[in-house]
Amino acid sequence: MMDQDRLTHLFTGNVTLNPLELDFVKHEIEARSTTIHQLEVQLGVLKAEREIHQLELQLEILKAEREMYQALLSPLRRNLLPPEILGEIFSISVSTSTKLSWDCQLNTLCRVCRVWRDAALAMPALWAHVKGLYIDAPKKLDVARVREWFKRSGSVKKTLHIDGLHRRNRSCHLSPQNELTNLLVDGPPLDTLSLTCVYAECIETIIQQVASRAGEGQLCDSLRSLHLGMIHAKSDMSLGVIWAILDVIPTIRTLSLDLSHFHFDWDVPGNLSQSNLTTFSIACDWPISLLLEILRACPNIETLILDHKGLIRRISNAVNTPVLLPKLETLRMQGLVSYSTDTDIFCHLQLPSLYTLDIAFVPIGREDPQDLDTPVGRNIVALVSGGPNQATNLQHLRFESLAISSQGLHSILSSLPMLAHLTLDKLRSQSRFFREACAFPTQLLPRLRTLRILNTSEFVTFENDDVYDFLVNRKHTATEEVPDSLEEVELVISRCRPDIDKQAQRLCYLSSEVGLRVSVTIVQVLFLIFQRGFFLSNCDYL
Amino acid sequence: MVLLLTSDNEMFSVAEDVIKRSAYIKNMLEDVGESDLPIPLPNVESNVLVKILEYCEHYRGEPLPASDVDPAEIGDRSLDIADWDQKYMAVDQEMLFEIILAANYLDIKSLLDVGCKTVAKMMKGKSSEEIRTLFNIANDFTPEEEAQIRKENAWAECR
Repeated sequence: MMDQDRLTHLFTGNVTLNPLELDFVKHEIEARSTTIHQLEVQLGVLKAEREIHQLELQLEILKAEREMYQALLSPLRRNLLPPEILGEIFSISVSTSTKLSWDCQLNTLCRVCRVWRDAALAMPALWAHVKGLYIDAPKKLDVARVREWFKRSGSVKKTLHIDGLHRRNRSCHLSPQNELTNLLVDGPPLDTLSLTCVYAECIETIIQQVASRAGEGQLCDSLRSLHLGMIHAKSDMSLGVIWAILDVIPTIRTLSLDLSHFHFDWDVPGNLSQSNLTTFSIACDWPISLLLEILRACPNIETLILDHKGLIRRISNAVNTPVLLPKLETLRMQGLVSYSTDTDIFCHLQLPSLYTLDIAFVPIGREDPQDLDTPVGRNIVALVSGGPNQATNLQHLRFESLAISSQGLHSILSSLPMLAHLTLDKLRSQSRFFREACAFPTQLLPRLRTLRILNTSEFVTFENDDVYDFLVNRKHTATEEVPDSLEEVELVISRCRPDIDKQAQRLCYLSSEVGLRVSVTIVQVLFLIFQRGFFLSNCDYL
Repeated sequence: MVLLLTSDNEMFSVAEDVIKRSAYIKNMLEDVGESDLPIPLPNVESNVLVKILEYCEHYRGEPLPASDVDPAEIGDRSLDIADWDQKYMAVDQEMLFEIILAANYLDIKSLLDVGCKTVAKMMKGKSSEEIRTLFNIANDFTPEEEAQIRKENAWAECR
């Protein structure tokens, strides 16, 4: 080290340095050179980082600009799709939306851009449906807007669904609104109308209002399909007004009623005439005798849907004369309780034109189907055999959640020689029926063309091998005189089966060697903690 | 075999039963009869035609589906798309719309239906803004127009 005074002297004058001072100065120069180099390196790094950052910023800007330009190439932005295709996409979108109602989804589409709004406005059919319109306090029906909406649908047939939500002890916001009656009577002519309310009297009030002005508007000329739904009704109501709707609006061809619980003193009006109806759907727990009296007044129906709502009907009074429905082609029964006697109605019906029968039961618990004394077998046999007006031409039969013994299934199927299409969905029966049928494969269901066995219950032992054997035997024993007309088989089998590979081999054999069109869905069945439930997930299609 | 000439001048030789899924080509073959001349497809590029032919080849021999939709009346429809069709339609947006346009031009109804369903499925559950983002569509409404539309359809606002 050198003292400060000497150093000052060296810096201010011309001084000869001694060797020690020379070394000191050289050392100081060297030390500073090293530091300078380090600093220069650091500075270089910092400059590079700044440059990198700038380059990165530039890159981001360029990418964003490229995206902006790419967006200009977007086919929908360039309006490459003709309006009719855009309209087709819209119609699929509104008619399949599960999250949003029809009109709400359409509203969403219209707010995307002008071209989309114009395309939607140019498609009248999109504006012909107003569904899920809820009327609830304090919300009132804005008739002007509904009219405006429908105006865009031009002459396309229109559908209006209105739900009156009102709570007990509060006034209904559906029936007292004359606006609704005005809309129905003076508004755009409707093809389909659905009115539902918690209380039957609200529906009655609306019908009475409409009836009093029936001659004024076009509703009575245009309406083809009507749905009325109610949950509660006073015991002193006759529901006569409900039945009278068909007199008020004789153009109705399709009537759907979701009725409140039955009261003992209710009866069907004597002069009930529903001769214009071709499709009738009724969901109620009313006794069979009353149902039959209603059906007796519907001689021209072609499609009948009886929804039992999972309830057992009250014991019926005796029915003297059977009800003949000469044009009925399709009968669907839904929500039947397995052990109920509700299929007894078959014994009182004459359905000579019946072509399709679809019976869906409410799924039951673990009871062995052998122990169930279900009357469905004998009742179907009564329906399809015995007289000139019986349903001897039944072609389509579908059972859902049917719990039945092998003998019971055999008695049904052996009574249906004309049957061409059989679907057994969620069947609760053992496969023994098919094993035993191997002995006479073509005698049973000789005209069968399609067989569908879907989701057999996990509570019974159902071996698909028995079905395969039945199908193979059927093909092999067919002759020219007794040919096998079976063309198509659809099966749902569980992925959890230990013999899944063998199953696949047999299915391939059915397809390639037996010549059947085979369609298989493999499902993963997860047994969860629910006592009687099972979940289906992970569907794969082969 | 039928010769097809795309807009970028590529020639394709295709089995007649494959390309007859296109009602446009089918009608043309019936009208013109046997010919060695290629059918020009000025609205279809070769890369799109390759995809179209892949579809026709897959459904070779299967009956042509009958159209069950009356455009004047829209009922409840299904958004179900077969597994193979879903995989087939797993392409970028540009190709998806090119396929739809080509299906429309060539009059292949089943393919057009699958294409429209695919787009409808992409939009399902999305708000107007999300749909704009999905398809790079600009919002060209003025705030006043937006307010007007909102007012017009106030009762149809999502409940």
